[in-house]
Amino acid sequence: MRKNWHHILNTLFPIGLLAFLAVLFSMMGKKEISTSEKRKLTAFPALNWQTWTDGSFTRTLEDYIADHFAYREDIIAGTDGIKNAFGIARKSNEGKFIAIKKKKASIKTKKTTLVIDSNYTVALDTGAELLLTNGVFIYDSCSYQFFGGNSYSSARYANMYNAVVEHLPKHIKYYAVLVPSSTEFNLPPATYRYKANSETKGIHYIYSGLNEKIGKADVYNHMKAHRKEYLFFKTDHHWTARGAYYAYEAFCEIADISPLTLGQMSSKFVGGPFLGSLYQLTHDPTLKANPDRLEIFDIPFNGAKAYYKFDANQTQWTPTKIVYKNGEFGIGYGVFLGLDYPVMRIDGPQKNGRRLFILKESYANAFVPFLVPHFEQIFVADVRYFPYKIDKFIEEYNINEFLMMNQLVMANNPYTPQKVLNMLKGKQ
Amino acid sequence: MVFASLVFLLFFFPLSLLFNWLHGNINYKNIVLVLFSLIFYAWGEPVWVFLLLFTTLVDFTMARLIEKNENHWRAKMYLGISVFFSLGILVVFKYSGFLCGIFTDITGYSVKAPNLALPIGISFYTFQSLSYILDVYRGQVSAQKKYLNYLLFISLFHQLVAGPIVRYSDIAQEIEKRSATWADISYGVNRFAWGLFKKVFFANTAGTLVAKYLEGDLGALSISEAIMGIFLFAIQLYYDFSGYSDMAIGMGRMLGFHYLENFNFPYIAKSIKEFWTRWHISLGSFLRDYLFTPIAFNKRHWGKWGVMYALLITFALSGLWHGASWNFIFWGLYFAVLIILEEWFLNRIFKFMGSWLSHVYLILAVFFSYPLFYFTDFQKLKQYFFILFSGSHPWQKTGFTSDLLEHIYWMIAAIIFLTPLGKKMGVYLIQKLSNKPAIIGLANTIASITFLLIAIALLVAKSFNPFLYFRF
Repeated sequence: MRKNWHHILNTLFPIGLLAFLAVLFSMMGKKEISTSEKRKLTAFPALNWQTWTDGSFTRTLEDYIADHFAYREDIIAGTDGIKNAFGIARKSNEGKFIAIKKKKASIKTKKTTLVIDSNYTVALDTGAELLLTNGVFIYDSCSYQFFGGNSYSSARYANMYNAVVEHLPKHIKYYAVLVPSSTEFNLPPATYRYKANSETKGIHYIYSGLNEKIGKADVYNHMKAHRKEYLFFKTDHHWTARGAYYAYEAFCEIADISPLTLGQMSSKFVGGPFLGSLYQLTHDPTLKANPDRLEIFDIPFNGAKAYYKFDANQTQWTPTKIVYKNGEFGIGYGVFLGLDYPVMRIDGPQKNGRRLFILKESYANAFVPFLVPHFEQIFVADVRYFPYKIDKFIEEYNINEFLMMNQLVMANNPYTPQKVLNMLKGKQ
Repeated sequence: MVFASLVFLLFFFPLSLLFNWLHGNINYKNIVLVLFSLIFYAWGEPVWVFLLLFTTLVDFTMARLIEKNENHWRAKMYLGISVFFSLGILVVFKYSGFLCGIFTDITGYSVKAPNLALPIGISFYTFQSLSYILDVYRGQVSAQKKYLNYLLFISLFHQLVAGPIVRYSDIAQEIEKRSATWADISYGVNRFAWGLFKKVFFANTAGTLVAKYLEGDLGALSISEAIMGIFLFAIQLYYDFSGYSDMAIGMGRMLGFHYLENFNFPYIAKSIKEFWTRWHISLGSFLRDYLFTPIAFNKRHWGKWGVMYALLITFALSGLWHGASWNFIFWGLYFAVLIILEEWFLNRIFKFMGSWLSHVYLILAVFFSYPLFYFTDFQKLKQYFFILFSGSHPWQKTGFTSDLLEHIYWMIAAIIFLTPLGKKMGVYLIQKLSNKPAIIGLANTIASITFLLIAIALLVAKSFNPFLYFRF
C-alpha cells in the first residue's frame, strides 16, 4: 500500500473528479434561461421509443448537460483565458473578423409572396441577399457589424411601409427614421469600411422608394456632425442615448417639434463599466479591456406615466418606467424602456392631442424618452412581438401620427417587413 | 457515444469503472463490460446494435465450425461464408452508394443505392472479426468457446468506434483472465487524460482553424492560407486519431487489457514506408498480414512486379477503407507509388544526401497527400492545387500573420508533441526524480486533473451560443 500510494492517488483523484462533477451537475438547480446568451437553455429531452431510436434523445441530452453544467458561465469565461493564451494578441488597430456560428440562429422564413390587398404585393425572398455578414468585426477595441443590404432589400422595406400607409387611415401623419450603424462613421473607409455595403446608400434607396406622405428624418447627417462624440457603444450593437439624441433632433425637423437642446438636460454616467452584446457574442479580449459606460440624460418627463402589455389577452395596462435609472434590468442598454415589451403606452405631459404610434425594434428604446415631453400619448410597439391587428389598435386609441423606426440592418432583414405585413392582416 | 463528450466523461466512464471494480469474478466483469459496450453502441445507433449482435453471432458460429472441421474442405467453406458475410455487410452499408455511382457512370443506367446510415465503427469491427476468423482458419488462435466472450472482443467500447484494430490473439488471454494493478490503473488514467486533451485541445482547435481556411470560398484563399489549412489538417488528423487511440489504450489498461500501440510519432519518419509503420499501426499490420503478404506470396513468380502489384492493391484498398470515394483510393495509390519510388532510387539518394533530406521529403510527401484525403470533391481538389501552383493567387493576405501569431504558442506546443521531444523530456524528468516517487506521483495527478479539467471546460464552452436578440 505504501509503495503504491501515488498510483492510488493518481487513480482516485482524477476519477473522483469526474464523479464529483457528475454529482454536482445532478444536485445543482437548473436555470431555464441564459441572460448572457439571450436564449432558452436546452430542456431535458423526452425519452420515448421515437426519441431513442432516432437518436434525438441522446443528442439533446448532451446539449442539456453542457447547458446546465455547474458554474457554466464561469467555465466559459475561463476558456476565454485559455484561448487568449494560445498566442500573441493582435494590435488593436488591426481589424479582425470573428465569424459567429449560426447554430439555431437563423430566422425561418419561407420564400413566399404576401398579398396585402389587390394593390400591393410584396415578395419576400430570404435567400436573395446577405443582410448582415455572419460575424462581428473588431477594430481598435470596438465592435462593428457589416451591413449587407442592397436595392432589393431596400425596395422590400419601402414597399412594406407604403402598404402600411395605404392600409391605414388617411388623416395619419407618417414618419420614417432609419438609423445607420457605427461602421458608417468610425471604420477607416480605405482599409475596412469598404467591406460593408454603404449604409448611406441603403438609407437613400429606402427613402427614395417611400410614399411622399412619409416624412424622412435625416439621421445620418445629424449624427455625422457629431461623429467624434460617444454615439455608439463599443461592445454592444446599440447606440448610446447621445446617439439617439441626434436622431431625435432629426425627427423633430420633420415632426414640427422644437427639440430640447442638450443644454436643457443634464447628463450623467450611471453604474460601472459594462460589456455589451457584441462582447457576449465574441468574448474578444480587446473589447473586454475597453468596456462601455452608460450615459443618461435628465429629460423633463413632467409626470409622464408608462405602462405595458405583454399579450392581447391582457386587459389592464401594467405600470412600468421610461428609464430604469437604478439598474433594475442591469446596467446596459436595458435601462431604456426596460425591455422590448410587445406594446407600451406612455401618457405624456402635453395635452396637445398628439398621439404617436411607433413601430420599432430595440434601437428606438434610447430614442423614445426624448419624445415624451412633446406628445399627449405615445404607443411603442415592438415589431417582433406586437400582438394586435394594427389598424384596429390605431382606431381604438385614436392615434394620429405613425413613426416607423429601424436600424438599417433590421430594415433590410426579410423578417421585419414580413412581421409588419402580418400585423396588417392581424396575424402574429 | 464518443469519448470526448460530457455524457461519457461524467456518467458512462466512471460508472463503467465502478461496476467493473465491484466484483473480482471474470465472468461478472465480462458481462458488465458487454452490457456497457452495448449501451455505448446503442447510445447513438440504437438500431445497429442488432446488426452487431447478429454479425458477431455468425462469425462466432463459423469460427467454431472451422475449428471443428480443421483440415477439411468444409473449413474453407465456412471461412468463405464468414468472410463473404462480413465484407458483404461492409460493402452494403459503406460502399453501395459508391459502387452504384460507378455502375451508373459506366453503363449509363441509373441505379439508386439503398439509403442506409453507416453504422458507427463498422470498418473497425469488421476488420477485427476478419482477423479473428482468418487466424482461427490458419490455426494461429483457438476459436472462442463462449459467445459472450467473443461479443466482448468485438464490442468492447474502448476500441469499437475508432480503433485500434485489436487482434483476438492480442487479448484472448485477457478476456479469460486479467487483472489491473494500481500502477496499471494509474498509467491508464494518465494515458486517457492525455488522449482526451489531445483530442479536445489540439484536434478540435485545429479543426476550427481548418474549417476557417478550407471550408469557405477557396477562390479567395492566399497561398499561405491554403498551406496553413492543410498543415493544420495534418495536426488535426494526428491528434484526433492518436488521441482516441490513447484513450482506448488507457481505458483498457485500467481494466487489465493491454492493447498494442497505434501511433509512434509518424511525422518523424524518414520514408513513406516507415511512416506506415508509425501511423495507424494496427491497420498497417492488418493489411500487411492479411492482404499484402498473401498477395505478394501468391504472385511471387512475378518477382518485384508481384511486390509492386501487392503494394498497389493493398494501398488502394487501404484508401478505400478510409472512405467510399475515389479520392481515398488515389490517396492510397499515391503512397504505394512513393514506396515503389523509394525502393527504386529515392532511398539511395537519401542515403547519399543525409537524413535531413529524407525528413524534408517525408513532410512534403505527407503534406501533399492530405488535400487528396480532405477534398472528396475533385473540383475543389483541383482548385486547391490551382491556388498553390498557378501563381494567380497572392502569397499572403492582410491579417494572416496576425492570425498565425494569435495561435503561435498553441501551434508550437502542437508541433512539439508531434515529435518524441515531449515524451523524451518526461522520461528524462522521471529518471532524474526516480528517487522521489512522491513528486512523480503528484506531478502525474496534477497533469491528469489539469488535462481533464481543460478538456471538460472546452467541451462545456462549445455549448456557448449567444444571440443578439432574445430568442425564447
